[in-house]
Amino acid sequence: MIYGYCKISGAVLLIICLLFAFAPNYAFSVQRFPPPQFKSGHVLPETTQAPPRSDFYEYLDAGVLLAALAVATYLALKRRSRTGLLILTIFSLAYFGFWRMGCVCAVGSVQNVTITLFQTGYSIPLVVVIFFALPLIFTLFFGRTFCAAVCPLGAIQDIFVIKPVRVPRWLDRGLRVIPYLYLGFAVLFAATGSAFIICEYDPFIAFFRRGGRAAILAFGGLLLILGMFVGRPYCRYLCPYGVVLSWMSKASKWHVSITPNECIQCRLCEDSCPFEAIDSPTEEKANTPRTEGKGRLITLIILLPLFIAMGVGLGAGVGSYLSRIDPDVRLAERIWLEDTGQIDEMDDASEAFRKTGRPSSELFAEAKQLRRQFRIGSMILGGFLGLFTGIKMISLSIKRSRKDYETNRTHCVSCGRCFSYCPVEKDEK
Amino acid sequence: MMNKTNIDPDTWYSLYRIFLAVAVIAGTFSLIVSLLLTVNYIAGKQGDPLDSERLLELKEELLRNPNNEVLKEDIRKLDLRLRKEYFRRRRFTRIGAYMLIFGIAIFLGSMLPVMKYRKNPPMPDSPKTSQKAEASRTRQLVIGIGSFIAGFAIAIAVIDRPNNYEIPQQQPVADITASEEKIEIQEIPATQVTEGSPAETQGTQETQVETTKSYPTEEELKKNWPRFRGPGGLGISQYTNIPEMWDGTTGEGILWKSSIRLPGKNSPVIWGNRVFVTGANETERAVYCFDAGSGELLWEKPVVVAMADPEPPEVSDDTGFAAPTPVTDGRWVFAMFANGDIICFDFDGNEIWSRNVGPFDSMYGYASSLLMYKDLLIVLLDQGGAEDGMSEIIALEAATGKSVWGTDRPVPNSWATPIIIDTGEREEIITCGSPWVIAYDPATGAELWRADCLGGDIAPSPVYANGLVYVTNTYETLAAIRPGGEGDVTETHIVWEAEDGLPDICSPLTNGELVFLLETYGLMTCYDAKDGTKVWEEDTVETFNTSPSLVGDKIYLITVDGITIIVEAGRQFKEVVRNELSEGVLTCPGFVDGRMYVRGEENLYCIGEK
Repeated sequence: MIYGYCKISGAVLLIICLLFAFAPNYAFSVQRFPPPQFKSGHVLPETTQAPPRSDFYEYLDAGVLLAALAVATYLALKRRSRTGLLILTIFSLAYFGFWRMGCVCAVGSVQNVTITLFQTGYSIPLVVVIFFALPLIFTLFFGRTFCAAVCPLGAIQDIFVIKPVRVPRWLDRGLRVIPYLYLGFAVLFAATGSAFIICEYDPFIAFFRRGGRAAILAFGGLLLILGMFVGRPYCRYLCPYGVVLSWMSKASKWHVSITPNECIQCRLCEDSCPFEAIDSPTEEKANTPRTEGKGRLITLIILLPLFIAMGVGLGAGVGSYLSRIDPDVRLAERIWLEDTGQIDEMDDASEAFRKTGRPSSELFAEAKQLRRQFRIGSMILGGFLGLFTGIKMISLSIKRSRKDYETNRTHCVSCGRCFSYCPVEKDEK
Repeated sequence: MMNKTNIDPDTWYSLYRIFLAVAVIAGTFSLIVSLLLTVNYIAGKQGDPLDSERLLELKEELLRNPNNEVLKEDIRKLDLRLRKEYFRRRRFTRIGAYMLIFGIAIFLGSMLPVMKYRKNPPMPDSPKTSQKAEASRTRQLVIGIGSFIAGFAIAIAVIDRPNNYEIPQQQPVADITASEEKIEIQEIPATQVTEGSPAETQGTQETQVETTKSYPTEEELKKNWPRFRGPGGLGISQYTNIPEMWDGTTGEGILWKSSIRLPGKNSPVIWGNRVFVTGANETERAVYCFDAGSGELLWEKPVVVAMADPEPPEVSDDTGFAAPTPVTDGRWVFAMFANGDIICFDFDGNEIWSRNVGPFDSMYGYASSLLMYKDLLIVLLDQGGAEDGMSEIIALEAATGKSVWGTDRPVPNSWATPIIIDTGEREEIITCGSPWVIAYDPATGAELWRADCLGGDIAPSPVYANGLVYVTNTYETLAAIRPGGEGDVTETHIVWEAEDGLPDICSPLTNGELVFLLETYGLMTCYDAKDGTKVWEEDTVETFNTSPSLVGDKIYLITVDGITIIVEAGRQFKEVVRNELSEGVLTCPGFVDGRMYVRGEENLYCIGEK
């Protein structure tokens, strides 16, 4: 076994060396503005920038994604090989993360799809559609094998899981509501064409690109350090795409199981999952009165419309505030402050706007229109969050019956860590 | 503990120790690299060459002393040093990032077997929290998170006040020094000035008044010479008492002569007892105000506009750096330069506002002059090629310089100046470009009509009389267009066209009955204004850059050598007299009540009787 790990370590080094071999690729580009002509004879060097990714590489990316998903599914469901998944994880990290620099990623593609649905002027590239849809399709059939070893964000966290500690189940399940909030805001901001917050606040993109904002680098570093002890914190408590994947996974036709055969109730796998994705058999209900919890359940079902209404109402209240994330709204506010003498000096944005010659009234009208959009969007978002909260509360109040140790289809990322804990697995091998 | 059967426990332990040592070394290495990168980042934040306080100070100093070569050299050295430092830090970060990735990869690769070796076996008997209690706590946490978010949202909803973007009418404006309500101007009563001679009004009391009147009346405009080619931009003097005889070499008929420090191809504008011109070279720009009565330089104000391109624009000798003629409304004077600087001064020389709309992509350098419509300053910004989509016409609020409207124009760079006409039904801005003559609504900038009849590099400006707009350019046409249409009026509103004697610089002149064209190399052609019939043509054998002007029934033609040829504006060419000035003239004269103001290559002249 230890030789296997030596091989993996060697593979890590090899892949990193390969990464170094890919020198930056530059292309000539055109000056946006005519450059000054220096009388001293100084000649401006040619401006260079990264060339757009060629069609070939886009198709290659899509092909690699498809192949990686297929291999991950095979390794998780058929071969049940944790080592294989770990090697694939390292490959995905190297390819989708460090080489492709984390873009396009399936996680961020949610925003592209959203903006395509809501903004008529945006044309979504085919490769983005593929990156959005393929993981969902695979998840619908095979569970979250994309999370297991293909997603670069999951991959970088997965290799940092060194000494995982148990997060109390109630805390873990409670914190898993945050991704719904994040997804809601991401969709709202993308739908209004205001911001791609998933990309903007991607904690690992700075590592993949070997550069980025200091705050994001620090955030990513903290997540990785935390991830040494709390497995995959971003996947569990932030990832908005994980929300959609979890819906698909819950309905998946096939899914990774802890044991390849009958569960013998040995309890050896009980603490094996660093992501709290193993559900224990439910407790005996022999002495529990049948009516217990029914009142709460009925109350929650009755209150569900109230949860939704509250969400809609709160959404309406914060719509205007949220609209300030849109750069045009912020610019309008700035211009208005300047025009009314509340700010003495122009900033770069307002100066640039004034140089365009556009009248302020046009910008103000645009900002008002955006604010209306945000108000409607926030009401929908509020309603969605209210509905989710209500359903979550109801689901927590439903009594369930489970006899064996099972992977939680919603939260299990199919990483295969539990395989080696199962004596039935060892027997069969 | 691992139980691989083919390796004995001692070997396992030795391997474990080795991997542990490697992990510790790699981890320590990664930590040190992280610290160094952090220190480098913090230090680098202060080393951005663009934010160097010292460099900015030196650049400001250079603005004050533009010819200080030592200072320039110091700036270059400091700039180079800062840039080297900046890129050194960038290199350090890049290399450090690779080293960090390398260190972490080794650390993780080593930690995998270490943790595997040290992994505790499962403990199935460990106590478990009751699932019921877990569900209860989860519900509490969800409710807690929901309540927190709801509370936060309620707080925002209560505190946040949506902005309606209403601008109070009497609010001060941020980026200027004056406000609409409290504009303090010097009272330059045009009627007083023009009723008497400029000399009489030399001592006009400059009382500080608050005014609510926002723009001058048509009557006031006609009594002055507020823009390029005077009222309406037609090149027609409202006064007939303009001298016809003078001699610049002897000083006869020359009331005064004042030198202008900086060169400029712009023409003088006159309001009351003030004469304004501008001047500029590669490094300096200035606005000059002269006393109309004495020629005394009342003030010279340097023009320094933030955000202007520090590199001087590419201009030709024919235009220079100060070709646009300023415009005034009696309260303020507005000037523009080839680099895109637009500035507004009051009559005391106090800067009201400034902004830059450059740099321009103009083949010969920007030269269109400013004009005004009521409270708006209209600026034609034709540049680049037609396909570049860079041309536009914009309107700025005269009091503040704020943009009011802007309309893109489908034409390349041009050098003509628009005029504003009143058709009786509406007012229109008439612009000339290649190939379109386009009319705009001066209040909104909306395009009204366009006609396809011009081409090439357009410099002659349009004129208007008796319901017809006259436009021309060399190698193309002289066209009479009936305004007031909509859309493309090429087929419907061009009344007549002519092809002889077409000018490339000088604008046409019309008295309503006849249209006069003046070629650069002296050929003068006269057409019937109604049907375009050629009435006469005469070769004056002179060279002109100055557009002809009409004074009563006389036309004043000024050659590039400063000779003014006065001819009759009739159906036959008849030269009346020639007067010499002592220097060349490339600009258009201004005429106000008995006086003619001419800008020579170096001096401003006032021709009139003492």
